[in-house]
Amino acid sequence: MLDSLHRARTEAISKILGNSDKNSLEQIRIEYLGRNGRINQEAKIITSLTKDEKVEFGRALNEAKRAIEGALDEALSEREAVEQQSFDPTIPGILPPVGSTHLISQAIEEISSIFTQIGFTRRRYPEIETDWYAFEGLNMPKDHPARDEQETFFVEGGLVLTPHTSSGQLREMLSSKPPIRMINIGKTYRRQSDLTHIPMFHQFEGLVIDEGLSISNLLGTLDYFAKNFFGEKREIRLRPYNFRFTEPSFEVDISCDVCGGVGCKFCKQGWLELGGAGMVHPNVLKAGGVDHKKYRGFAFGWGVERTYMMKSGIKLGDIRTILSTDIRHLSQF
Amino acid sequence: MAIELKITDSMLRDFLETDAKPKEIASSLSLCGPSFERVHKLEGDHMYEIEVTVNRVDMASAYGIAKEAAAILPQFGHKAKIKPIKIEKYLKGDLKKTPVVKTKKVKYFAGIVVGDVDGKIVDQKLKSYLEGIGEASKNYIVDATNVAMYSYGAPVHAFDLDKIEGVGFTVKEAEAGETISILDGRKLTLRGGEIVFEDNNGLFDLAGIMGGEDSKVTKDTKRILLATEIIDPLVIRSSSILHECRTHAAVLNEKQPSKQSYQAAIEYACQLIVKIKGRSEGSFVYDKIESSPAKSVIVGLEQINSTLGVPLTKPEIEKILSPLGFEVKWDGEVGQFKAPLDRQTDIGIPEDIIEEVARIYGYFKLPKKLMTGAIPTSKSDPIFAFEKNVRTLLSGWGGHEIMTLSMVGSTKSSEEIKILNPLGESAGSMRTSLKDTTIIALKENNWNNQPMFLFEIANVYLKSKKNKTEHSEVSTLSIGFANFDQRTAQGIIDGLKLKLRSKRLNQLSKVGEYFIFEQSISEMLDIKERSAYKIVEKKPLHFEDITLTKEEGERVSELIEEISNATEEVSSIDLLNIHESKYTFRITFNYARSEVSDEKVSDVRGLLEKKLSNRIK
Repeated sequence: MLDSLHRARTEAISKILGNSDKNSLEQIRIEYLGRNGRINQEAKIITSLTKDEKVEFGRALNEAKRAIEGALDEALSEREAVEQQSFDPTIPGILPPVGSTHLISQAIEEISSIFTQIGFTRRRYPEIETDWYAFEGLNMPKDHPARDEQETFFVEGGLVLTPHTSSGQLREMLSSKPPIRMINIGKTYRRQSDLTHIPMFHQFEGLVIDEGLSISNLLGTLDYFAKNFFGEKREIRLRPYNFRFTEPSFEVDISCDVCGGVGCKFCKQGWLELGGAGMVHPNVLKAGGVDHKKYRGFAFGWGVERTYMMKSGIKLGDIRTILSTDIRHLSQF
Repeated sequence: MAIELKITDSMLRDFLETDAKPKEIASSLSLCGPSFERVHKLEGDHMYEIEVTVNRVDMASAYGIAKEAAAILPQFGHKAKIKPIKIEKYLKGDLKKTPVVKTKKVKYFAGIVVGDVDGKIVDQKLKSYLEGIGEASKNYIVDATNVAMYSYGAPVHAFDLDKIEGVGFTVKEAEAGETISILDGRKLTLRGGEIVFEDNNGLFDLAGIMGGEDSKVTKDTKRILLATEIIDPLVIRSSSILHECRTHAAVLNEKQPSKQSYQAAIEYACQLIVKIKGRSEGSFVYDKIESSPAKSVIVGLEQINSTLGVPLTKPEIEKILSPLGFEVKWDGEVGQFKAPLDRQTDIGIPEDIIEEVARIYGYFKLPKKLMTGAIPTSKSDPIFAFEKNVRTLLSGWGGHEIMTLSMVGSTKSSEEIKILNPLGESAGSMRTSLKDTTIIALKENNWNNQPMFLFEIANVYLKSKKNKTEHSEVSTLSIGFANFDQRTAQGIIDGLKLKLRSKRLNQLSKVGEYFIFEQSISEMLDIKERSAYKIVEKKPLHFEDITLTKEEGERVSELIEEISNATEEVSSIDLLNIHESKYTFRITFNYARSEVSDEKVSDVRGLLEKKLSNRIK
């Protein structure tokens, strides 16, 4: 009664010995030890045995199962040991496809996220603007030099390509009621192209309108941005300047990261220029439909490209490289 | 934009008494007033390179800087006060013969005749002032006019009176085509409208910009006319730009210094000359400037302090403003502020007063405070998060984002918006599609034979078809594939559709060797709601593989539709393999094999084969 069982056991073990293929060993396991496997098939005769025969058969059945399982375990262990020995962690990998988002998109994302943390709403306003939004509404009369043909692109229909994101200040004030905290990031255009200027670039413009705002709030906001963007140790300062759409107006400087603010050949007495800022001119508030007796505002507008390159230390040499579509350039970011 | 000014420390100290050293002067003033860009050490002196904001032409002189220094330096613990220079009154208007002014664009014109001069003399002090700021010394007469300009911020010119026909010349607007030889050696052909001086010999001065070659002071000069004029700033600007003659005189005149500055400059120049060698013989003044009473600006103490964010007292404010020449009268907590004469055009609203107080007090002393008011509840446009998601997906799958110029060459489309003053023909219109620039970018990378794809998210610009004066800016995604097989490129699009849940994405198009995708972001943003969660089957779903023949000209979508119509309970239909005209599909059903009978499986297979029999060859 045990011959067939013994044959099944021997057959299984002979198939296992010398076999190192994982799938093959699994097939053997199913074939012999599975629910409908050989061993269980052999076990079907147990119902026709006597009591004493059942005891003997049961013992032999269990021994067969253990022997096959043991052989399988040993074969798998040997295989693992061999794999472990041949495992070489220094083999270079095969890179998955690695793409890139544009340097400027990364910059915009980072800048935007800092301001949205303190309650600013992100906007993107038109690039083609009317004269009023681009200049007149910003307290720049028709004879202002910024309108000079040499700097502004004029477009048919009496429109312009906006030279600054400040046009967004008016759009925001006319569409939202105070309190306002806006970060407008978009493309701007100036009619110049050389090593340090490109005709199309990006600016980010902050506008805050509320009751009781002060220059201290502007300082606090710019300081918050500078520390989050450039690093905790960096300081900012304001110097007097002049813009038509702000009064007072400021030039904003940041402490030099090379010398720590002491002064070196890369900076001016320890400071680098960042961009402009100021308290929104009452004429601009009026143009935006905001009661300038009740509300005050501050605004700042800086170049995305310039600000990001100051932080990252990327030295392009020719800023027009920003618009390069060569993968060797793009994949560096 | 700024006015660039160079002065020596000696010139400054002609007007300023202070214990501050040059670097201290530079750093203190830069924080509160004019920006000192550089301090150069000279032998026995220093030279300052200063940038003055365009609204403060009153600062564009040694005297102007001295006034600022007198107000600012005490804030930093230095002693400082103005040292006024006594200037004789030479402008008496006592000449019988005067120039004839034939244009309303000249509002003020003053002249002093100085005789008994000697063009051979060079004064060392005047020479050292000019050489200290990098300007050439000519002779004491010309040097005196230049030093006067840098001292008081208004241009003065000296003419050799014997080379022109006396002071009875004409001041007029030039006619188109007239010519003049100017001091830099060029002969200009005038456009018409420039302000010029003319006598019977022709034009001899491009007024307010540069003197004429024919009337210049030389070694032989014995008698001169000193002249200064206030001309319409728009004429100065357009003329000096047109003729590429952006002299310091033109820059100053364009910014309109006060009449007092012009008077001080011409009289100071005369005094410098007369002290060395010369004798004033008379003067004329043409003045059409209407004088208006000095304005006052009313500002409350509360407004000043709440704008600064610090509480200043009334005496502190007065102490800050008085060195600048401001007068203050208080009525309770409200002040009446009167600006000095040379600040009348610059100070007009309360914010101007607040600026004066704040900058002299020192912006660096103000605390830094974030806003504490209510956070606005307006929401950002969902387009930003969507665009970010698109970028993340595409770059994660190996795509490189590009950024290209919005301006392109004309495509003659009726929708394109033309730029009237482009930088070149190749950038004369705003693009109506991203496709062309994407293809150019792919071609620029044609050294790379590896599969690659580039993408761009940017606006395209379209004129309205109904109303030509209206336009729209449409955020658009463009993807270009190079060295890609079609199915892999399509896989990227299908992946976008899956992850973004867009209801509909455009099809790929083939342009030469490239595959291109383009669609507006707003169309892509039309997304499906998230489908309800499906409990995951523990057992694998049943599937059937079937190979069909596609006829020439037919689309794969037709085969997929036939399969879909031929059977039910389908979870997905995937194209596994293509071999010539044979397309093998895997039809996955939404039930597990173990849950259905062999009979059902056989029936489904049979039905498929029957309905698709014409395709199974």
